[in-house]
Amino acid sequence: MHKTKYISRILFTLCLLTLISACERAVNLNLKNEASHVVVEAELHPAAGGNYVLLHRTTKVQEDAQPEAIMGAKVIITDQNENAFELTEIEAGKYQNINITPLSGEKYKLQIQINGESEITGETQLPTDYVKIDSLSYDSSYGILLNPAIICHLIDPPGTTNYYRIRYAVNGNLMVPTSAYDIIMSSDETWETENMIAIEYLENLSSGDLVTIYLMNVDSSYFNYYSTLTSTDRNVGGILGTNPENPTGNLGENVFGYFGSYSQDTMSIVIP
Amino acid sequence: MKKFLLILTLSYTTLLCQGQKDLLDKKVTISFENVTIKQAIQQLESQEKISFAYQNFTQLKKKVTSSYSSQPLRRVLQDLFEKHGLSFKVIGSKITLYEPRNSKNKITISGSIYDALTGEALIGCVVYEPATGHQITSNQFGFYSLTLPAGTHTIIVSYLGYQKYAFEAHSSGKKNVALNSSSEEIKEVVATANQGNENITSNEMSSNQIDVAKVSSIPVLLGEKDVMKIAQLLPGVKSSGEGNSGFYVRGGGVDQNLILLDDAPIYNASHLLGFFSIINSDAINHVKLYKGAIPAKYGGRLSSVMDIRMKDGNDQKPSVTGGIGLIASKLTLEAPIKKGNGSLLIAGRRTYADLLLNLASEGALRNSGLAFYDLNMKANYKLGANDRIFLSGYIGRDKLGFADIFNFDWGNTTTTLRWNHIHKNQLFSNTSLIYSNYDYQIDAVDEFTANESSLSVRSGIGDFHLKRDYDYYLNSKNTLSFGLGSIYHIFKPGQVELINTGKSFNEHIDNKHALESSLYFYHSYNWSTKTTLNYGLRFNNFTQFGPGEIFTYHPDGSIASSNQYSKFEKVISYNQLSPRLLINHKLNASAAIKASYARTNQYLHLLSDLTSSTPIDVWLPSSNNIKPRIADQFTIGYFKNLHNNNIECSTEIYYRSSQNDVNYRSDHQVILNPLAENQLLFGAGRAYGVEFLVKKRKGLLTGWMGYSLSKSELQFDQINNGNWFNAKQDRTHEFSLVSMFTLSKRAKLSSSWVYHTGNAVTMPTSRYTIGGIQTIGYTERNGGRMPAYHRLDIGLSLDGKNNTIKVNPQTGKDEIVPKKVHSNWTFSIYNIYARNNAYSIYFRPKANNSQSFEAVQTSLFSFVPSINYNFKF
Repeated sequence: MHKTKYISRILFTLCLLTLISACERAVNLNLKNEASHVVVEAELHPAAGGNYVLLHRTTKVQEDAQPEAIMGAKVIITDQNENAFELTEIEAGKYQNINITPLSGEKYKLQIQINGESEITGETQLPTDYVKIDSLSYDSSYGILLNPAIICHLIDPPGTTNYYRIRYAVNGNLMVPTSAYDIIMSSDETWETENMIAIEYLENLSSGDLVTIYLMNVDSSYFNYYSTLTSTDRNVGGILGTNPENPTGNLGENVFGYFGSYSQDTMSIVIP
Repeated sequence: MKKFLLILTLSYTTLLCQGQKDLLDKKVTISFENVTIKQAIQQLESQEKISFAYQNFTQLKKKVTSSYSSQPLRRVLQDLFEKHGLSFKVIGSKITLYEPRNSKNKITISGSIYDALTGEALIGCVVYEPATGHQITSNQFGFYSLTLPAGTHTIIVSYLGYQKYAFEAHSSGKKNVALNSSSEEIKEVVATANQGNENITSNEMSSNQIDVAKVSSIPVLLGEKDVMKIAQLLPGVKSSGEGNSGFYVRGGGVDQNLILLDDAPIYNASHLLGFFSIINSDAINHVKLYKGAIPAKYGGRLSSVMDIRMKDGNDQKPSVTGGIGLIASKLTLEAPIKKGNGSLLIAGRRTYADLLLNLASEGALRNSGLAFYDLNMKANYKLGANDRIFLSGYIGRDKLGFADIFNFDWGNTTTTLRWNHIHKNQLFSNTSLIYSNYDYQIDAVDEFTANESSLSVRSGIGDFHLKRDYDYYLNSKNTLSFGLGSIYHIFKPGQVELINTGKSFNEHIDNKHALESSLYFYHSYNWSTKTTLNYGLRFNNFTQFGPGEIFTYHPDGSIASSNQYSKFEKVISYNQLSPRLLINHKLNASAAIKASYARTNQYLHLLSDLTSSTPIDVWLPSSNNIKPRIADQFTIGYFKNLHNNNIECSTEIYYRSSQNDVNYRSDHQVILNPLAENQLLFGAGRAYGVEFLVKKRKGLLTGWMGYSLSKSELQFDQINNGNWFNAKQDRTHEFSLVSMFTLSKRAKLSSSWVYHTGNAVTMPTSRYTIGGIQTIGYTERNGGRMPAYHRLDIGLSLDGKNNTIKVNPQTGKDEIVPKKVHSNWTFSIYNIYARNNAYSIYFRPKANNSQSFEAVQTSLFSFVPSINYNFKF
C-alpha cells in the first residue's frame, strides 16, 4: 500500500506537470502602432463645483511614458435652456466651472474642441430621483460565499430604472478602486425585491472602523461605462479567452471615456 | 380452313422445335485454341457441317480457348456466344446469331467487400472493369453494384493496403469479395502499380480519407493516437488550440462541423477539456472528412462533415487488442457471433490518474483530478443474403473533481440501430434509428461552513433521428442516392438548483424542441468517359415547437413580447433548399480538374461565453429570433498523380460566404440565461483560400505536405463599427509536414511539423487612466495576432517479433512458429524543440509601478515525452 501511494503520487505529479506544465512569462509583443486617442472623463452632480472634465491622450501599452494631458481645449457644458458654461482649465488637463448648478432630471450637453480636431460631443441626463440611503447594516457572513459585508438599504423609486454606484471611505479615507473589478455597480433592472446593495470583500476592516457609504444614483451613460470597464481586462486565446472590448462610452466612436452625472447620498456605520 | 391453318402452323412449330432440339442436342467433340469466335464458327461449320447466319458483331473478334468432348452443341454455343452478349436461334437449318435488344444485354454484379481476416467492411474500394472502363466504389457498408454490358468481364477490386483481387463475371449475380491485406509495403508497390488513381477518378473533392491503421504511427500528444488530431494536419483544417481536438474547416467555426459516429451526431467531441478526442482509434474502421463539395446525403452543418464508421468486429475469430499508455489504457474485444455471419465489438478506454489518487486516499486528493472513460460497442448480424442489422453504441464521460466539493462531469451517449437491405442487385437501402445525447452536470458543495450550501447545474442536448437512405446503381452511367429523415431535437439549456442555509432556489430554463426533416437526392452521371456530373438537392424543414415561453426582442435586445406555446404548437418553421454540384473532368488517367458548389444550412448554434468552446457551451436551435445559417461554397481544384500514382498532388481554391452568422453583444451571458437569444448579434461571413497537398503513398518513406493560404472574415453592424474583421480562426499561412519512414520490418520512425500564423485576436493599442483605474484601449476587433505557432513531434514505433522458434516435439527440429501475441511499443516526443507557443496572452500592470502594462504569455506542453505499449492476440 505504501508503495502504491508512492507510485501514485509520482504519477499524479507527472500528469499535473504534463497538463499544467503551462509556463507563464512576460513577452514583448510587437503591437500595432496606432495614433493616440483622446480620453475624456466628464462628470456632473448637483453640488457646488460638482463638475469636472479631465482630458488626456492615450499612450502605448508597453511603454512607460506618462499620459499626456490635453491643455488649452475649449470645453463647454450647455443646459437644456441653452445656457452655455465654458469650463476653465484649473490644472493641466482638468477643466471646471463652479457656476453650473445641475438640476435633477435635466439634460446637459458637453462640447470639447481640441486644436484642429473634430468636436467631441456628449449628453447626460441627471437622474430624476434623489435616492437616499435608508439604513446600513453589517453582516459578517453574507451570501453564498459568506463574506463580511455592509448592506446599504435604500428605497428604490418604483416605475423608473435607476442605476447605482457605491463608494466608501474607511475612517475618512476614500477607497479608490485599483481595478475595474472593485467598482461596485448595481441596476434595479436586475432586482426583484432587493432594495439593497451589498458591499462585500471587506476583509481588511476591523471592529470599530468607521465606514462612510456614498450612494451614487448615476445616469445610464455613467453606469454603462463603468459596468463594462472590466471587459478591457481579458485573456486572449486559450479556453478561457474572451474578446476584450472598450467600455461603452457616449462620446463617439473614436473617443475613450464618458460624460455622466449622478446625485449622491451618504451615511456612516461603525463596524461592530 | 382456319382449323387447317392452325394445324399447319402447329405442325411447323413442332417440327421447327424438334429440328432445333435435334440440332442443338447433337453431340460434338471440338477444341478451340486461342481463336476468335468467328474462327470458331468457321471451325464448327467445317467440322460439324452446320451453317450459321450472323452479322459482323464486334464480339466475334474476341478470342476463346476451350475444348469439348462429346458435349451437346447447345453447351458449346452457350459458352461461345452467351458469355459475350450474343444469343442464337435455329431458324430452318441455320443457326442465327443476334444481339438481344432488351435489358438482358446487361449484367449486374453486386456484393460486399470485406477484409478476409477480420470480415471488416471495406469502404471506398474501387471496383472496375478495365476493358470497358466502368468503375464504382463500395459504399459505407462495403456494398457495391456494377452494371456492365452482357458478356464476360474481368472485374478488379482494389483498395490501398490490400492485395488486388480479380474475378470473372459473365452473368448477373452476387459476388462477395474478401481482400487480403498486403502485409509488406514493398510488395504493395508492385501490387498496386497500375491503380491507385482514385483521387483522380472519384466523384469527390475537398475530401480526405483517414486510414486509421496507416496513421497510427504519427506522433500525437501523450501518445494516444487520435484521428481528429491527424485530421488537423490536413490543409484547410485547423486546430482550435494547443492539443485540442476541436477544429476549424475552411474558416468555419468549431460548431459548423458535423461529426458523425455511426451516423449519430457527436455534440462535444472532446475529452479532458479538449486534449483528447472522444474517438477511440481502435474501434474505428474508417474516417472521411468533407471540407467542401458535401454530398446531398449530409446536412445540418455549414463547414464540414467528419463521417466516422466504427469497426463491425472480427467475424472470423475472436481477437483482443489493447494498449497501455501514460494517461489512459484501452482494451478492444472482438468476436464472431456466428462465423462469417455476425460479430461483436467492445472497446473501452480509461484514464487512471484518478484511480491511483483514490488509492492514495489522502483527504482532498481523494476523488480529485481529471478523468475520462469511453466505451464503444457494436454488434452486427446477417439475417440472410440481403439483410444485415447493426447495433452500435457509444458512451463516454469526463469527470473533473476536487475532493467531494466540486464535481463536473460531461459526456456523450449515442445509439444507432441500422438495417441494411439489398432490394435488387442494384438497389441498396439503409434504415437507421439514432439516439444521441450530450449533457453536463456541475455539483458544488461548500462544506467548509456550518451552513452547508450546494449548487447543481445541468444542461444538454438530445436527438432522436430516423432516416432511410438508398443507393441505386441504375446502370454504368448513372448512380443515384436518395433518402429522407427526421430528427427530433430536445435542447436543455439549463437547470440550476442552489441550496443555501436551508433555502432552495431553482431556476429552470424551458427546454426547447425542434424537428429537423430532410429529403434529398444525388445523381452521379457519367457524361462521357472523361466527364462526370454529380448534382443533387437537399430539402430541409426546421420547425421549432412548444411547449415553453417564447420571447421576441427589439433590435437593442430588450424584450418586445412573450407568448406561451403549448406542446407541439408550432413557433416557426423554415423551409430551405440546398443544391449541390460537382463536376469531374479527367484530363487523362493521372490528372483531373474538379469544380463544385454546395449550399449548406445549419439550424443548431453552439453558444459560448468565451471565444473557444468548453464543455458548458449551450446548443440553441434556430428560432423566431435566430435565423438558420446559410453557407455557399465554390471550389475548383486540379488533381495530378505522379510516379505511377505514388505521389498525389492537388490544389484547391475555395470561396465561401455565409449568412446569419452569430456573434455576441458586449458582456454577453448565454450560458444559463433564459434570455440567451437577446445576447446575440447576426451578421455575415466570408472565407477564401488556396490549399496544396502533396502526398507520397507508397515506399519506405510515406507522408504528406500540406499548405494553405487563407482568409476568414466576419461582419456585424454592431462590432468594429460595422467593418469586416478577421475571424478568430483566420490564419494566413498554415503548413504541415508529416512523414513516416520504415526503418526495418519492425521499426517505423515518424515526425510531424506544423507551422501556422497566430490566431487573430483583439490586441491592445493603447493605455490610459480613467476613474483612477489603469485601463487598456483597443481599436479593432481581432486586429492583432497571437505569435506564430510551430512545433515538431517525433515518434518511433517498434513491433515485437511476430515469430518465434520452437522445437517440434515430433521431428525434434527447430521450427518458426507465429507468436500468438503481437506487441508494439511507441515512443513519442511532442514539441521536441520545446517551443513556447502562446496558448493565451493577458496584459498586467508592470510590477515596478510604472503605470505601463506587460504582456504575459501562457504556454502549454513543451517537450512532452510519452510511451505506449500495444498488444494484439
